[in-house]
Amino acid sequence: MTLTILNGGLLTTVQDAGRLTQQASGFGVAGVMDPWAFQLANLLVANSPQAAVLEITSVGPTLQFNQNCVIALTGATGQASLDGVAFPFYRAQLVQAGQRLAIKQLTNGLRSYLAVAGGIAVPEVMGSRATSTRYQLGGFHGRTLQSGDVLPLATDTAYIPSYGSRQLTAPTYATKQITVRVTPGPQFDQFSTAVQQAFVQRAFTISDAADRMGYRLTGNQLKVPQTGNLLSEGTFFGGIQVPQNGEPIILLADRQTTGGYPVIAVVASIDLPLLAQARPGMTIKFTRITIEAAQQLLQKQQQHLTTLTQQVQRPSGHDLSPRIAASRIARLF
Amino acid sequence: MLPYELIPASDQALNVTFANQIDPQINLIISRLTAALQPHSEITALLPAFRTLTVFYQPLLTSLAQIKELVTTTISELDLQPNKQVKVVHIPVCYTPEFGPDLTHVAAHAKISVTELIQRHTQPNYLIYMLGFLPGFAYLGGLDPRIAMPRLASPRATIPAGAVGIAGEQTGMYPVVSPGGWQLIGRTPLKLFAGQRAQPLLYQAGDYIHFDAITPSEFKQIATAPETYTLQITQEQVKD
Repeated sequence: MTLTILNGGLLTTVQDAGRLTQQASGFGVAGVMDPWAFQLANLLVANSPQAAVLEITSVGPTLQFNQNCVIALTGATGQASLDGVAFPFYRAQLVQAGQRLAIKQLTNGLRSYLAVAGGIAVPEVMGSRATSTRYQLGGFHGRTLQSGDVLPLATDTAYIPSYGSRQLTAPTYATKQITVRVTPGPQFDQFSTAVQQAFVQRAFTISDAADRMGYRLTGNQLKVPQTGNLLSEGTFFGGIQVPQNGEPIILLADRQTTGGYPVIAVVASIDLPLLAQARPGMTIKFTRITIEAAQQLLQKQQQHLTTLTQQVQRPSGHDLSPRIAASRIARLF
Repeated sequence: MLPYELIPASDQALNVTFANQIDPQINLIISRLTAALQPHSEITALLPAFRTLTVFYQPLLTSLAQIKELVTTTISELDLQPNKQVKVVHIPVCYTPEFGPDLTHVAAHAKISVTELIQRHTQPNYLIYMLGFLPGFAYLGGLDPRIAMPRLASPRATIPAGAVGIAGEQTGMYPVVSPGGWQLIGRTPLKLFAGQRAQPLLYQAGDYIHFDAITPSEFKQIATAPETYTLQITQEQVKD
């Protein structure tokens, strides 16, 4: 019950929802950058929403499955092939023992998620299987995957219910500009009205200093409130801090747990996937919404997820009822 | 009860925010509040800091208004009896420009000699107010205000494990390699965080830290043979 990495790709790690509860000891959360694509990957292969997956960045890995299993790819899409034959994204697929999946350049979006039915079974470290490369901890020996790595899988079942229905529509990700909804950050009121307005009116650029830890934005410098030194306090996924040089930094999955720079705004959870799929050089604009509106969007998304769950669980033409299967087998004899 | 504000921080988090100061009484309230909120299932995580407690919650299970009410009620019912005895963990630090690139800069900013800076930094027992920012990064209270120093305007890309620094009225140690904006004045040869060690950290929030100045040759000795070094820990009565 394993899969073997033949080529690690640019940056492939084992991730799950991360270590939210360990922040009090100073351990970063880590976990997936795109929580929505992560959920959909697990949904397609009938996993629990917490099951560990592979997060693939920009150029994917080549891997070999050492037994039959059901897999699905979500998030960014691009070129993928199974033993040389084009392999679909956003669809549960049965793969046979010995088959090789090669994921090449991702062209629509930046990060893909590969879920295997049952989940990637690396040991849990402090309640999670997420890789923290910064602390060399969790995931597969705390590092990005390399050629020769053999990853344990939780189950060897190659059957999932409603197999033929387990497909979803791939999103089209922006290539030039994203508009991201934000709620006011804890220090929003300390910024001048002019800065508060400039923040939502001007466009920023995602600089090359963009990784799982955070994206540094350039193009505009925001005047930082001179309220003396702020004592370090908790950080957030999507928190937009403004250091003294005025260039905002959006804190992401590998963020540190606390920080001392004022936070002007926090990306609404619903729009975190837009950031995860954005590339350096793209333009980013912000638009302000209330906390209540952001929470309503999450509720709507949850309803949408329920709909999608029903959709992928519909009995499909590819599934035979046990009665029909039995009658067909009987006819063979 | 000290004054506090409830500040919605994100669509999944509420900050309980006290005055912007390092205060043992605020610390006590935050640590007791953290413990009291722990059992609530709609709360997904608690992140205590110097003067804030970030309450992460599941917005699909509760509302901002309900979380605010829960926090308000819980604070009003807290027991706030202080502790009587404390643990002091002694950390050896080598204060030289080689290990502390900002050492002379910080001394000049305080208008004192490097020797006096070291003396002032090794004087107090520092209370560990919180762990955060990095695994086991201890935020310490009790820095001599005369050697306070603003953060770097632009953070350094890499700070080595063991670095000891000052930022504002805080002092602390980097347990792992990291970017950061603290002014560096020295380095400890101890491995402050080791994920594979039975106890990954040498201390916890609520303990005290005391820095002991060591020479570069002592640094080298401890760094090359860490197993021969015994961590010094003392028990001390709380003076007040």
